[in-house]
Amino acid sequence: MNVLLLGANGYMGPHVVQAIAAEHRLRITDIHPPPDEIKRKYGDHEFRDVDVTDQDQVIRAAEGMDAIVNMAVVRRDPVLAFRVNTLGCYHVMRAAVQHGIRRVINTGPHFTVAGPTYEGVDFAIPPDIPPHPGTGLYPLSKSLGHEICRIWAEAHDIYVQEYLFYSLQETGQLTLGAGGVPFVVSWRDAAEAFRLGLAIELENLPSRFEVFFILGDAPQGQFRNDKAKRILGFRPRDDVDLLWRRAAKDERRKP
Amino acid sequence: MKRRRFLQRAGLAVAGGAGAVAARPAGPLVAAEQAASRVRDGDQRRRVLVTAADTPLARALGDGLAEAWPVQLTSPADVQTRLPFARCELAADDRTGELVKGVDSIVHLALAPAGIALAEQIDSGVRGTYNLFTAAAAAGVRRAVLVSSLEVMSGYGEVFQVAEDWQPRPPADAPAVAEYLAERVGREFARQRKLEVVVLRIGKVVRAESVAGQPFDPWWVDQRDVLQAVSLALGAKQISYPRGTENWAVFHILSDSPGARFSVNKAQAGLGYRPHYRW
Repeated sequence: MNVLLLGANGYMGPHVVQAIAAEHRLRITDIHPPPDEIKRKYGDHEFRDVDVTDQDQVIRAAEGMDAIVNMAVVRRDPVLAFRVNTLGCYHVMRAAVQHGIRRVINTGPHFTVAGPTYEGVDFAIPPDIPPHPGTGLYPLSKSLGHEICRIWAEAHDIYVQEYLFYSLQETGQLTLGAGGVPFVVSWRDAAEAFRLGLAIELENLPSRFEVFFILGDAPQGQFRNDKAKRILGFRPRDDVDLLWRRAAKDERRKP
Repeated sequence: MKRRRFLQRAGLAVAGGAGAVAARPAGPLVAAEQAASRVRDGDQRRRVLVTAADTPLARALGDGLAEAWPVQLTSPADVQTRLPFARCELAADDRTGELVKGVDSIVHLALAPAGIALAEQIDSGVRGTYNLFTAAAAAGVRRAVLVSSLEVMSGYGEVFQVAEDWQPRPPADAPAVAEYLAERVGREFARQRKLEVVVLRIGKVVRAESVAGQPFDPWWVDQRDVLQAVSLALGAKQISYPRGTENWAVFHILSDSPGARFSVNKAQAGLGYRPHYRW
């Protein structure tokens, strides 16, 4: 499959490239250059400068593609947050329509849907909840992009998978008792979700717009990852619950 | 005299003259006048800010509301007006913060401007609404009346009698998407209790005299009835109807003509809306 990656040279992108490069032909794009290691190791794939805020650039970049993975994000700039997180999704969906691309994977933070009225209040929060992002710039601008994807998916023959994340860590950082937020996944497990999302038969998705929480098996039970497991076949390899395990008894007794 | 002039502008009294189509005679003291009375008798800090003053509708609303409220207009471009005016692009900056200081309520026209690409409609509409509401919440503005469009509900077939409690279905790739997203911004501010937000979804705004003799359009609403609805939304003691959502309400504003596309029952019951012009 020919896959367009937008915002591919940030934090998430290099991990996704590594997870899917062996199985797909990638067009790796961003406004920033790729890490040297990625350029060196995956030089047989295509690299291109693409600004997701520019509709023409996105449409041109999507030509000849079978899937679009949008990892573009801006968190704090009051203008760019909307142009990238909201308008960027509009450009992605326009490009998908124009080129007959039926598979789109969009990304965002967990509070795209599970904002302050859910987080810290409820447990067993699934991804299929009415979005309550709150009024923060980052979650709200991402949530509006999410809505654009939903509206377009319902109007066109496009299947959108929304992958939502919170904390991402290197496998080596998942250490005993380190703690952290109860929505965490290793980078390699997160990247694996994209490989699964590109592999799934579109007709096996329950609808043309599906949201998934991508997290490991966190013991607190605040957020649920069973939908990703059930539908995508997501199986986190890294034990995130290490983060909250106490040391063994004899170790705790040591001075 | 000032009261009668206000009622005439609000479509609640016969304006007289040719061209007034099926105008209803003035009835008993109605909600809009009661709202205006509360303004005169109540807190002096009642300044109303009206956005999008570079549009005819906003200017008409500003002129009409100025009969009962101290009104200030704003828009990104300079406009000719007798009312106080401040130019502002609704950016995330001090200018927007200054704009909303001392304002009690905002009438924010979130209607997508014609003649620009949908991408720009989305970006400017959503970002402007967000910046305005963020500044307003910080400044203690009490209420925002967000004027949106009934087009956000146009995704339903005409066989359905669509009401305010139906999920919005704006057609993809239409200006209604920008209007719907502005509503979503307002909804989050209301949900977080940072502002009271009343959404008025309006139809195609006309002046009854100017469409006299034309085939009836079920989306018509007279500009003076829109003014009435905005006045009612500004002056209502509480906005939630019928259940207590406290900070959030949506009303459909149209004529109550027999063939009107959407019912105005909720606006009639919840705001006291009495459309004056029908076809």
